[in-house]
Amino acid sequence: MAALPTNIIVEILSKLPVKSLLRFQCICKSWQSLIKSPYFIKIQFNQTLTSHSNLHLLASVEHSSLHCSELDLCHDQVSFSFSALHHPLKPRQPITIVGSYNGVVCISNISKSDVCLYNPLTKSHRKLPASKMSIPNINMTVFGFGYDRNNDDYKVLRIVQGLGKIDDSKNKAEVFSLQSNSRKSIQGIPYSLYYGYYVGVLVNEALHCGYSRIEF
Amino acid sequence: MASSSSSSLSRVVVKSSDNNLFVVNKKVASQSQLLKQCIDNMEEKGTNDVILIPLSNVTSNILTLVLEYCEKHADFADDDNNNQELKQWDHEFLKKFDYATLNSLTMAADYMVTKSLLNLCCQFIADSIKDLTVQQIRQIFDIKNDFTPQEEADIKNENAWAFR
Repeated sequence: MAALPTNIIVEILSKLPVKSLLRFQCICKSWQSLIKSPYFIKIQFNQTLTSHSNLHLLASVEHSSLHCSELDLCHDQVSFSFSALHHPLKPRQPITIVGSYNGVVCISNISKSDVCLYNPLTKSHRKLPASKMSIPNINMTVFGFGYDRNNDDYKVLRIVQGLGKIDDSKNKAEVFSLQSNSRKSIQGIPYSLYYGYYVGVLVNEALHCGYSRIEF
Repeated sequence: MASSSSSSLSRVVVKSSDNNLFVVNKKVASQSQLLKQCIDNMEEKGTNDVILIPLSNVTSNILTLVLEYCEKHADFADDDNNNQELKQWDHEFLKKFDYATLNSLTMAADYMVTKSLLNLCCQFIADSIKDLTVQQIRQIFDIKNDFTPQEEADIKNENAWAFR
């Protein structure tokens, strides 16, 4: 049988789910380097987005564990079969989902000291370096997770709500960039943000946070 | 025949690699961008003769299948892509073939620039191999394992969950 040319192999493999691709890395060296290449990853990813295939629903159950189920938008789905994910934060430690984008999930422990970006499909993850901000009460941290299209970068925003009169100096903030694997301090915003269980919500590439008109 | 001022071909003759001739009407041939390009070029030149297009990479077995696909899709050319009847037909069409035929058909679709058939074949192959084992994939695609046993074990360990 004639061997398929590379462009057709790429075309076929780009239509496979991640789990098959991870397995097929050990078919041969050329398949391995293809599957690992950023070029292929991008094609496969766009393919997945446009075909609405390989969708997953993520759920955190009572802040203790992370579960994942396949999601089918093309057919009427009668039930979900959730299976527990072995997330990279300490097992059995309560966690919360900060946000997710393009299959990358940002999770933190409930005490907000450990934050991690995690890809449940490839099981790869990156822990964020600890914050250098002085945090009077760790519960008063508000997280936000977003994607920066221009730089193809995933970012985590951490705002620490200040106490007392609202002005710029009261809220401190820093942004972690996955690309550079570093964080930088930015100016806070002069609002009394809702904190506790609240996180920033990503809509149209901007993070949105709730705030109170009453000073804390 | 058409008037001499503007020529319009109604049929073309396509020749397979094993020298069989196929008469194909223009609407059917136009499903292949390669054939369409040839027809357009000849029409621009004002030729009224039936043209012969040799396809040196496609055997008559496979060409018959490509043309069967093109004929069906030419019938639905004015419909949107979401026609359920056509989708059903596509699936039944490909279901009959073994991997060797599917591979040849995919390569012919690529060569003849029949994008929808190429896409269909690739999706069909992907769907049918996604749950297969590494050994089965090597067999189907006739791929030689060039990893040492240690290298292969390392990759498997790294992604052990995917092998469950």
